[in-house]
Amino acid sequence: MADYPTSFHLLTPSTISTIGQYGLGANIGSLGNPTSNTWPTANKALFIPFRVAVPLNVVQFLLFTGATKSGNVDVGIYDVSGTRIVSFGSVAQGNVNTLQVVNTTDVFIGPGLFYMALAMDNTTGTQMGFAPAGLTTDMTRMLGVMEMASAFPLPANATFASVSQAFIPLFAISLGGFS
Amino acid sequence: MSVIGEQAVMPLGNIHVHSIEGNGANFTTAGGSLTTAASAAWPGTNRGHLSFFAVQTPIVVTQLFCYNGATVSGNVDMAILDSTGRRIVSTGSTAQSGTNQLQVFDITDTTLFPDLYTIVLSCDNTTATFFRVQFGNSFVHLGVASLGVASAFPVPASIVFGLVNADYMPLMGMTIKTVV
Repeated sequence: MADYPTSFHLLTPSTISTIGQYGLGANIGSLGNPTSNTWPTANKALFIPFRVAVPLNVVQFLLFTGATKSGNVDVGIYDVSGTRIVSFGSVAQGNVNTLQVVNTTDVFIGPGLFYMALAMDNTTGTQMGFAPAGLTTDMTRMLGVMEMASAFPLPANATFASVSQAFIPLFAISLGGFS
Repeated sequence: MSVIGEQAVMPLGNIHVHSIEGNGANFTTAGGSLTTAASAAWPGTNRGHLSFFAVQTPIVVTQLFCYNGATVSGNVDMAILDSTGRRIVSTGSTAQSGTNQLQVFDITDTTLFPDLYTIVLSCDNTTATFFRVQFGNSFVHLGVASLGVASAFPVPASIVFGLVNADYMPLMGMTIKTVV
C-alpha cells in the first residue's frame, strides 16, 4: 500500500472565506480577480461548502458589495443536513465597493463540514464574486456549491438543490472580529 | 494564525480531480486549472483514465460523476479502486447521456476508510467527448498521479496501473451527498 500523508495540516485563520483553504481553496485554481456581479435570481440563496478541523467561534460575517447596492441581504451558516446554525436576518446591503461587516450572535462550529449561505432579495444589487470565462455551471456543481430558490430570508431548514449558474460569491466568516 | 495540531479533514461534499483530496493545487501548478477544461474526444477505445485521491475520515460515497462534452456516444463505466487497483465499487456499463453537463451515476453506498484510492473513468469509443484538462504533455500526468490503462471497459475487478496515452485528464468525481 502506497505511503501517503495521514492528515492535512490546516492552520487556523482569523477569517474563513468561500475561496480560502477551508473553503473551495485549491479546488478552484486560478479564478482571476473578483468582479461585481448581480445576484442571479431574487430571493435565491447560494451555499458554499467549507470545513473546519477544530471548534471555532464565529463572531461576524464579511460581505463584499459590488458596484451597485440595492435591497437586502441575509447571511448565515448551515450544517450538512440543511439545518440553519446561525443567520443575521435581512439587512440592507452595504455601501458600494465596500466591505460590509455584519455582527452575528457568537456561535461555535466544528469540527465538520458546513455551508456559508448568502441570499439577496433582488437582482439589481451586486456582490463581489467570481464568474470567469471558462467556469461553467457544472464546474460550479462539481465544486460542491448548492442553491435554494425562495430562500430569503434564510430559512430554518434549507433544501439543497443543484446550482444553476456559474458564479461563486466572495464572502467570509470572521473568527476574530473586525471593527 | 496558530497551529492547532493535525486533524483529519473531511471532504467538501464532493471529491473530484481538482479537490484537495485529489490533485488539488498540483493541477493548478502543472497548468491544468479547472477553468481551462474543454470538451475533447476520448483518447482510446476501452481505455481508462485514473486519478488518485486520499480519504482522511470515513466517508460514504453515494454517487459518481463525469463531465460529458459536446458529443455523447456509446457507454461509460466508472469505478473506485483501492491503491492496489482492486475494484471496490463501479457503476457498470452505462450509456453516455447528456451533453455539456455532469452525468451522475447512482452507486451502492460505499464506505471508504482513511486510505489512498483511485477513481477511474472508462469509455468504449472515441466519438464520446468529456471535459478534460491538459498539461502540455502526457509526462506531467505522472507528476500529478494521473494514470491510464489500455483495457478498462468495463472496469475489471483488478487494474494494473499504467501510463496515459494522451495529455487528457477527464473531469470526474464522487459525492457523499444526495445531490451533486
